[in-house]
Amino acid sequence: MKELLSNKYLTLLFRMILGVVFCYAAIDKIVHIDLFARAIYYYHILPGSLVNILAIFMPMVEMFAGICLIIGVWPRGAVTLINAMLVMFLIALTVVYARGVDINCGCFSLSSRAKGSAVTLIWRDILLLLMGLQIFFFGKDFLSIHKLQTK
Amino acid sequence: MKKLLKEIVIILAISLVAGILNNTFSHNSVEWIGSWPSFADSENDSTWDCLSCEPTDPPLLSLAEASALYQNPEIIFIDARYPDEYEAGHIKGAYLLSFDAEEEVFDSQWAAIKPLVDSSSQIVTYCSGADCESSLFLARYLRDDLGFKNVRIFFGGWRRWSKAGLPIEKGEE
Repeated sequence: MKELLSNKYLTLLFRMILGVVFCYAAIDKIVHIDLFARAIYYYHILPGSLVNILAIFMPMVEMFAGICLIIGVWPRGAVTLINAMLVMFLIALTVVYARGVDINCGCFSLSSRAKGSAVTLIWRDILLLLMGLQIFFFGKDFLSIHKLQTK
Repeated sequence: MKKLLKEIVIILAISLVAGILNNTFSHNSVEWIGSWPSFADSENDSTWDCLSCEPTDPPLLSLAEASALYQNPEIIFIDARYPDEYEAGHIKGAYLLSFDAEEEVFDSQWAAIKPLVDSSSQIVTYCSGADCESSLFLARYLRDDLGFKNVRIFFGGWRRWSKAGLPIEKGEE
């Protein structure tokens, strides 16, 4: 089991998946800061004064952490940030689900017809988090610029 | 550990600079510190605005307008919330069309409503209340994608309706 978990190709695959997912998810939010701020607001979780700050900066962290993970620059720092965000999303989605608020999740697309119930979103988040944990705990720096630097 | 912290700080610093630049030059920039209305006010029509509404959107109805329209049995009320919310209580006679649910769920609900309506039918959408937007998005979808001409939104939604003691029912359709 441990052998499988620390398989370098598995880490590489997870790095690519997480990296691409986070970059893809960030694009729409970076372009439409205003719509993303509104989506955050409708989660009913953050105080109004923090909504815009999160909307301005979080998509950038998503994108740069995603890029770092793909090309393998500072991969442990990147995956730590990504895991932290996934835990944050998990808490937010669970709170929303428990309260029964109907929201536009604002996860990937900010269009009004972005579908997916809270339960689906929570499972998807957990799946991504498991990949993130594998990279964090078992990740070897296979095929990363980071490894070339430190050699 | 120190190396890990350093990596995190570098990525955060790059994101900080990029975020500042993006919000400074973006066409869709926002105030640095937002002034969003408090949800505590959302029950009150006078202090609540539909934040996402555009001037071209289907018209919003007040509670008085919605309850007046409700007297006309030809006007169809559509609940845009999730099935479990609908089952817990909805406007009496309203149909369920869960706008944020999975495609299959939405499609099967729509199949049940479709034979009852035509493009000239008068439709009123609603969701939980002013703190949700699925009533607006559903109304846009009905008008713009499905071609219904008379779509209106009761933005006060389920909460205002049930608080006002207007007719409700529980369970499935």
